[in-house]
Amino acid sequence: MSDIILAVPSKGRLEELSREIFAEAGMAIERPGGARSYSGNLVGYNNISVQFLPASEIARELVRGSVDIGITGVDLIYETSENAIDNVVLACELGFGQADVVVAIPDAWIDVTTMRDLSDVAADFRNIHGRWLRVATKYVHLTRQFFAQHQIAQYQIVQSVGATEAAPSSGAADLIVDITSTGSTLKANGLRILSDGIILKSEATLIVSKSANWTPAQRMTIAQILDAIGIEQNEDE
Amino acid sequence: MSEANENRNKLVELIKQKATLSDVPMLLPANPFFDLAGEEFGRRLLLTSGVNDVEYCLRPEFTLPIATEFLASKKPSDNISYTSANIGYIGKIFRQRANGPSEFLQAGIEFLGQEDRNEILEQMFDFVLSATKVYNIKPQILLGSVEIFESILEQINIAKVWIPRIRHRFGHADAMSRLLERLSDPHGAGTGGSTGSLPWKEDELIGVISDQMIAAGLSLTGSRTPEEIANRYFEKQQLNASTVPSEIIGFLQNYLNINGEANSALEQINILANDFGLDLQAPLNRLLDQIALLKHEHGMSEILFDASFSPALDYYTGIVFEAKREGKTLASGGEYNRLLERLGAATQINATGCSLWIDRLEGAENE
Repeated sequence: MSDIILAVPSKGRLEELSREIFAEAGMAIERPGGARSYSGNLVGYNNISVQFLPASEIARELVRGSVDIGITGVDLIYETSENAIDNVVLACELGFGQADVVVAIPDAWIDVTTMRDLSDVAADFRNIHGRWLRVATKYVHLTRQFFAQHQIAQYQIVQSVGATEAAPSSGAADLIVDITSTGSTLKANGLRILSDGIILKSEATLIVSKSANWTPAQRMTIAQILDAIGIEQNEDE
Repeated sequence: MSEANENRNKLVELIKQKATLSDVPMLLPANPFFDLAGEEFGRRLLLTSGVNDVEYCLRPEFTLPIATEFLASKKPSDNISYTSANIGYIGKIFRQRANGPSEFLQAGIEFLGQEDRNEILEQMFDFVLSATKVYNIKPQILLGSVEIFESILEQINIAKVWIPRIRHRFGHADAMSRLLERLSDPHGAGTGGSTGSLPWKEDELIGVISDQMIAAGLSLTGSRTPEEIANRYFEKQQLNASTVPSEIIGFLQNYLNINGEANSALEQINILANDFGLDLQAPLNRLLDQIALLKHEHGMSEILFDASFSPALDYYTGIVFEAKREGKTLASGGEYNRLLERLGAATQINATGCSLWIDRLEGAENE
């Protein structure tokens, strides 16, 4: 058998909407074991098996090539490793799960509105406070890339796993890089997004792994899926 | 024995002529590197964590562990100052690169706590150029001077508050040019903060910022303070635009643009300094002496000076250099008298050092 593994978010709105997308394309996803089961199938496609995984695991498996095609947020792909984006093809944005990865500072920093301001503050910070400017985030790679693009070198990342938005008030960091869909959590924590501080606009995306070593038959199956979803394909990919 | 090994043995001999070989562990605590060099260097570390949640890294360089070890073993008792030591090394270092982790072979010497700075600098160049000679390479020498720049900042007539701000951007070309640009163009700056109607009196503004910080649960002292924010806000509004006169900005920009054959570059600096009434004779003479030695003792023909050149680390203090070939850095180093102080010594202690990229020397050999 030349099985293709399709990974779909395992719960919540992301799961529902992902299944809707496939259903509309005439490829209903079945999850025979219900919400507790992690495997399923595409009705009418015996050579495609479906795995229900947390979105961050889907990203990691796509980058590794152990899942062939899947739905997850682009931000999670970027965060898997520094060059992870080179290992996948973003086939199609699906129109849900929108959220931005942003640089947010305490709103009280009235003198800071742009990344340029931030680079200025960073350059003086250590001299004044005897330590580096600290940025709390779980998006280590994205932060490093974005700060490097803005020529900010004088800072330090504090890795955060949850509730990043609380880092400035707890004193763990001076500012944060975090994901936000409406900005309301940031606002509630007295944080403001820099005017040019949007690092990445992410949304749920159908993503194909480049790492997988496909047979011609598997390749055809992938093409079939993309075709059904309505994606025009470049023969080179 | 292969030629590479033979050359490495010669390097070890060169190190032993001037220093004792150190034995720095391969696995080191990561935090001191982050503390000293920040995220730009931290991102290059190969990290791993212990069961006690302490982060470790594979040795990314030798200077910091050697300096730390020196301080620990030479702790002075009361009034006795640190004794001196020349410590050499040769071994693998590990860095993250765009295409994955890489290992490099590095060698070098740290001259710590030596009295005579000029003598030690000569020793260092002698070691570097003896090492390149092992590989039949005559490198291009790029020189820079942190002390000239610091001396300029001390002498120009400028509000004290600006000196660290400008100094701290030396070696960060983009940050420096942005600051100077902003200072020289009072009306080019953007507008202030998120609120439209801020009070214009400083103490009122500080009050508003404090209230906002308290409301958000922020410490008024743990990070940027209300005063600091208000000051920079006013500065940005150009209420303090006159603090740095435009001719001083112009002078700094002219100085930082000087770059070329070393002797003529230093002559340009001399003229510029005289016109501006600055005395840079002492640091210029130090450089001229070293250049003369490089030319006549070591037969170097291509010696450059770049006024804006400095490693982007603020513990460098004196003369800095890179030995290059076809754009590749084969060796680098210089004087960093603030390093040991940064690591906990009570005062500045003379420190000079260099490191050689052996893989690059081997790659460039005999070309």
